[in-house]
Amino acid sequence: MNQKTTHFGYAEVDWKEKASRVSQVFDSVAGRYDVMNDLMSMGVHRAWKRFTVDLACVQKNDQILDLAAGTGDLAAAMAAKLGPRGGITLADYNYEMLSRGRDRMIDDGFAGLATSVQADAEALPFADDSFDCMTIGFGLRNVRDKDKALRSMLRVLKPGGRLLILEFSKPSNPLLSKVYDTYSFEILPRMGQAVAGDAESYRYLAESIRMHPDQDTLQNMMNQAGFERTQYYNLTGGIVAVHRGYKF
Amino acid sequence: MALLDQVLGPLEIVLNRALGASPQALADLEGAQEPVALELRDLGWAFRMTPVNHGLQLLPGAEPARAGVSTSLVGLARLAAGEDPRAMGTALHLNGDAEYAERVLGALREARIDLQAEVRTVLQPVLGGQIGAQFGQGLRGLLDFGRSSVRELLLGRAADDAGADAGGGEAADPEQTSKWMDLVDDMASAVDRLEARVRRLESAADDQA
Repeated sequence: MNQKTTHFGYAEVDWKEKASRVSQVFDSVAGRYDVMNDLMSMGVHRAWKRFTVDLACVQKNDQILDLAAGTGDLAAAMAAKLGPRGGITLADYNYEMLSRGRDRMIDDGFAGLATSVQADAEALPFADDSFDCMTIGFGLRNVRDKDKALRSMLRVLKPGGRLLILEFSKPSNPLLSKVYDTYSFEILPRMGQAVAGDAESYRYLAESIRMHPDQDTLQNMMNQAGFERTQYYNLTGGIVAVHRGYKF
Repeated sequence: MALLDQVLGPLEIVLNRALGASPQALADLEGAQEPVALELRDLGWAFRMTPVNHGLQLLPGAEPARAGVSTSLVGLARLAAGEDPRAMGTALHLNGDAEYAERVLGALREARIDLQAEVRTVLQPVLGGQIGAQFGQGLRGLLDFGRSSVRELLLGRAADDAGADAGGGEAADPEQTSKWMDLVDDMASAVDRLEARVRRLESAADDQA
């Protein structure tokens, strides 16, 4: 692949085109995003997110950045652990998703703690060393230049701060992998069509998961970007993994 | 994946929850940055506890570490409950920078973690949660969904076959459908076996308690 193209699912698209096409996907699914998450994962995504938040070990005075905040699942769970001197910033490339996350924070009573910023993970609009903790849930695979995004995340993290990446990954069990493939490519798009009226977006979801780096590759990318003490936890047989790294 | 890898995450969460509730314990760890290796002899597990801003990070493997602690699961529970390591005799062995190890263990003692009470919290996500709930319920749900989807697909195919324009729509290929059903059946058996295993482990845990 040359420098001017990138992956959009299995398709190779112009570098500039990916962001707008990913945005179209999320514009399309934003209204049914939470319902679809429950349906697609049989509710297990709640356990994945709870584990991520527990692992983040949020302290009362932490300044947190939740990237690809979407409808605010992770942000709301982390905000509940903050004290009045803490703060959480929701950032998302997509305005529709960010609006829903912002509304969720207001509805859940976290308006005083939360700020919303429409931002590109590759060029985060924050000062160096701004955040104690950073999360990105099911968002990294949609980023064009993951290495650049990881470096940007490292820059805005305070020394001692941690980054947690919750993302679909590669199942470790071959049997599970087969079933998962069939599910992803045969069932998921049909479910997307039935519930969200959009099969293509969910086909993209399945394809983008397959194109995303596996557990060890992502860990290496984090190391290359400058994160230290990186590690990952496989959840549900590796369908999802939580990667964590520190800045020192 | 080894059981230790599955346990480390929940164990770290339990330890950090307790440390977070004890400002003194966190203060004891301040400035400490190097790992202490913990070997649980009876389980054959070795992992490192490294102080970080918010508590401890647990990483698999005993190396590299500034100090090492070798004990049994019972020894770990005694330590976590507040027992002085110097009074534990042969139940605990320290190596490397023993003073540093005592400092990190001191923070854990300060946090007063009731590991016996937390053992379920640690293991449940692994046995009951990650395997039982996620694999069991999740895959059971997946299987149920798979079965109903196959039925729907077959119905869709039947409807397509009956229609004038055969081959349109989202009808499933019979070979593909049969392959999917085989996978569903294989997975159903695997889930049954897994659930039975989880039940046995849980009843064994109950007997021990």
